[in-house]
Amino acid sequence: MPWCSGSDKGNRMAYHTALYLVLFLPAVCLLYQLAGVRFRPWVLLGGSLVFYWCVSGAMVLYPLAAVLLIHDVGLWMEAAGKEKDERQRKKAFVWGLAVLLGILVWRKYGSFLAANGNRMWRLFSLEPPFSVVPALLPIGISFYTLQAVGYLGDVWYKRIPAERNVGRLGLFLTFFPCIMEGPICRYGQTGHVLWEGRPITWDNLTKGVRRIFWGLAKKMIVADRLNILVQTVYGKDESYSGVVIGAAACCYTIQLYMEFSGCMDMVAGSGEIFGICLPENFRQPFFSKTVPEFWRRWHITLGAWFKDYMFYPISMSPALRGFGRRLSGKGRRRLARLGMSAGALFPVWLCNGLWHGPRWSFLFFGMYYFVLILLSIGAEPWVERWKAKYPVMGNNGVFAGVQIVRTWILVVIGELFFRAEGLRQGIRMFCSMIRGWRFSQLWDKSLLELGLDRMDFVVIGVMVGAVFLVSVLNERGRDVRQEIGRLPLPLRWGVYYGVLFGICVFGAYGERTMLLVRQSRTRRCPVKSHNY
Amino acid sequence: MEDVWMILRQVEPDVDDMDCEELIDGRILDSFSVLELIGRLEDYFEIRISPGEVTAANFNSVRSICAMVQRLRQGE
Amino acid sequence: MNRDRVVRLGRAAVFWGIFVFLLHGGSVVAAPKSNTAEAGMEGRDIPSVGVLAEPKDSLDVIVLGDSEGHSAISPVVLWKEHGISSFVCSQSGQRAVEAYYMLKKVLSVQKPKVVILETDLFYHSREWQREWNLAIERTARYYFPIVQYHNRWKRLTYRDWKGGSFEGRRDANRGFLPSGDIRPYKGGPYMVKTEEKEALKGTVTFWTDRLVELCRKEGIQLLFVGTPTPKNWDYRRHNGVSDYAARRKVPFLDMNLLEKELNIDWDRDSRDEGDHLNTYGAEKVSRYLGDYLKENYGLAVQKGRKYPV
Repeated sequence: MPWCSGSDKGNRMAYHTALYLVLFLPAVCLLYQLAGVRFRPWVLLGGSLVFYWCVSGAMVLYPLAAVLLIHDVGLWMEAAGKEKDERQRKKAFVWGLAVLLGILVWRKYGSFLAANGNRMWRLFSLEPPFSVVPALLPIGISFYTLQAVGYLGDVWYKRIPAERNVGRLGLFLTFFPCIMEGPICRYGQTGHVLWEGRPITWDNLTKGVRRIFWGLAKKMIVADRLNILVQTVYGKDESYSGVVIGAAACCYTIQLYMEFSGCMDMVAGSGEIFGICLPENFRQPFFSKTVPEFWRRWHITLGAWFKDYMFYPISMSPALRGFGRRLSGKGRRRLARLGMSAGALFPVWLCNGLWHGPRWSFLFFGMYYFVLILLSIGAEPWVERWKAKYPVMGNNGVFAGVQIVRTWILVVIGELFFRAEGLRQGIRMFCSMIRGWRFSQLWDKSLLELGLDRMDFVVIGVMVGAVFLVSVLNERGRDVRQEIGRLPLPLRWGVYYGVLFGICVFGAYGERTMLLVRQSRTRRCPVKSHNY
Repeated sequence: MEDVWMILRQVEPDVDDMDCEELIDGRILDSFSVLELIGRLEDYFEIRISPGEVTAANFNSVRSICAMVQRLRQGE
Repeated sequence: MNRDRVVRLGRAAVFWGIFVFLLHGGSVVAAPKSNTAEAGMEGRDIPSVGVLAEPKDSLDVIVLGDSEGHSAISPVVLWKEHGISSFVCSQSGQRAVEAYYMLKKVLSVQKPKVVILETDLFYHSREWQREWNLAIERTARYYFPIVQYHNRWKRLTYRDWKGGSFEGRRDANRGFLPSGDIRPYKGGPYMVKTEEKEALKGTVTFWTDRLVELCRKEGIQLLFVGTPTPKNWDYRRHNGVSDYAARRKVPFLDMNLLEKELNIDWDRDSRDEGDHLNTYGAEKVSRYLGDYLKENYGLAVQKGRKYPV
């Protein structure tokens, strides 16, 4: 989830702005609580539409159109199903998918396709026929489209009955905490809970607010601070090489995690206030030992969506299964498994990469992980054999540590390309990093000339340490908030004041930070600064 | 029930608790194991499992897999 | 059940009460103790904050507004020619919300008779969400300066921790930022009469209304003044502000219509091609303004009052 923290985007409605935290959310909570059980869901729906309008204005018509579409198509499929008309059912399903995905592709990838189409035309020395007009994107289109497609898929597979209530579907697609950055929900999980109109309880309120502040702390203390360094290096990457670029990529990875998971904390906290338990998007991803495991712990709802709606349907398609069976029949079980994996994973990673944005660098990002995961699958038999041969080495804490660090390195390289303003910059920076690598750069103060000084790194270190501690507790299955709740009052309040003051004092906001960010920007921050 | 357990152990030998209720949620079976399991179940019981059946509810325990298999056999 | 609720609310109230207290303490430490860059004051604020260093209740006139204010109105001229003591509390790009809080801050140490609001700030408004975010932030800044100065945590000195009052450096120009640059304005007449009005945004009038109310409550005379600025002003804007001023019963002196009376020479009086006046232009404007204030507000010289540095 690429971001430009601290950019002008912070001046519109967003989860970390004063407008949301001081005005919008409290107003919605108040109206929600005062309304009776029957009207509460409508308050949420109304609030969500107002939220959407604040960010994208008249383009609120897009998600509304999507709601009406899936409502009608769902009922159409159900009606056809009752009459055992499989053809009609399929027709409805395909039609619904085509419109949803068509709109997404047109608005999000239209200019990308046009520009590249023109390039191909020019290769043949022909006049490029397409006009490249970058379209304004309705916010959250990538998210609500996936949720809508998921709903249709669930109705198609008869996992859930079609929903008659348009309001319910509307709230499911446009619920304001989820609309901008996810998590990508399933109708079966959240659709009904959203509409129940549970009252706001004191416990839920305090829990939610605590989680919101924790997310805000992650974003403002670490992510916004690291952004200065990352902007400095990426803004003028030709001036830097070796360790500095590697450090920038590392810092970006940390920034991205803090910002995205911080945002998810704020979103989950907002949902918790209303008694709605949104799915988690992160599960301590930096404790992963392998790359496939990383993608089960990072942006979980996206991975799960691709698994359920692309990977399984494709793997279980007759074509791929026939292929697999033929190879298995010949005794080449492993090759069959690899082949089928590749066949299903390729479209998944193609889409995963491109879903992040219409750029070649995102496509590269997807393919990079495709190759790594395929290698991981292919190497399994050898790894198993090796582990069987050296059981002591295989089950060692040190080995696990090595695996974790190796995963970090692979992920950081991926993020280096992800943040770059194009494939060319990514490749250039990567090569420059390898060629100019000198360990002396770590202690010769070149890392202190990138916009952050020693004190900044100390603050970042302390906050990252706190997050690490929380992560370890979470990994062990302990509920951190409950644990803190059990501490004696002075200690408990001390923790809370620590977080609140951390945000107020050490948060990287305000005029000076904006100045540093603007100074470090030589080019405009790429539009991928916000994933739509 | 026994057959399902046997097939499961062929796919994922590390599973030792027949009453485990967290095969999917506990990440004991990954996507590839699930696919392999599906393939073998289909061959053994002569059923067709559609992608719609691939849910945590159906695959979280040996019991739920059995239930799904029986349902599919009766449906045919 | 009810007792539980009372206990919970009570605890929450105490929690947030202590937080507010700590924020206040933090603000006392973090706020710069002098109006210099070394003490941590932001460049944009330095000229205006000097007002806090003036002797208590010594100022007759306070000027609020954006950079037009501090480039066109010279308190030195006002004093020398008319004996009017004044201070220019303008900031570059000052918004209505900032003018409001600036006035509130000034009123804690001064009792001016007249407050001049330079009208360019009526049209300083961007997208409404941005303005609301800004308004919330500026309100927070007023009550808790730590919001503005939190970045000073790296550079706090012993002086900061000791606390103590603000010891400003007195500014000889009283907030006026002179410039001798001459870059003529060549665009010709810019106040072409029309009936059209450029509407004022709600995000601006919300704060100017409160400013008007504040002046009324404190018994201060408010005056809207438009200093000559071809780049930023036209008749439509004149109509917009004129309308507002009439509704709020505030006198509006638009010097953009008084080019002849002021004797403005656009070949010599602008420092940046019509955006701001330079010292020559400022002298003319201040002289006229001084006359106007003397005639209409009866500001007399106070004998024996200390004013110059």
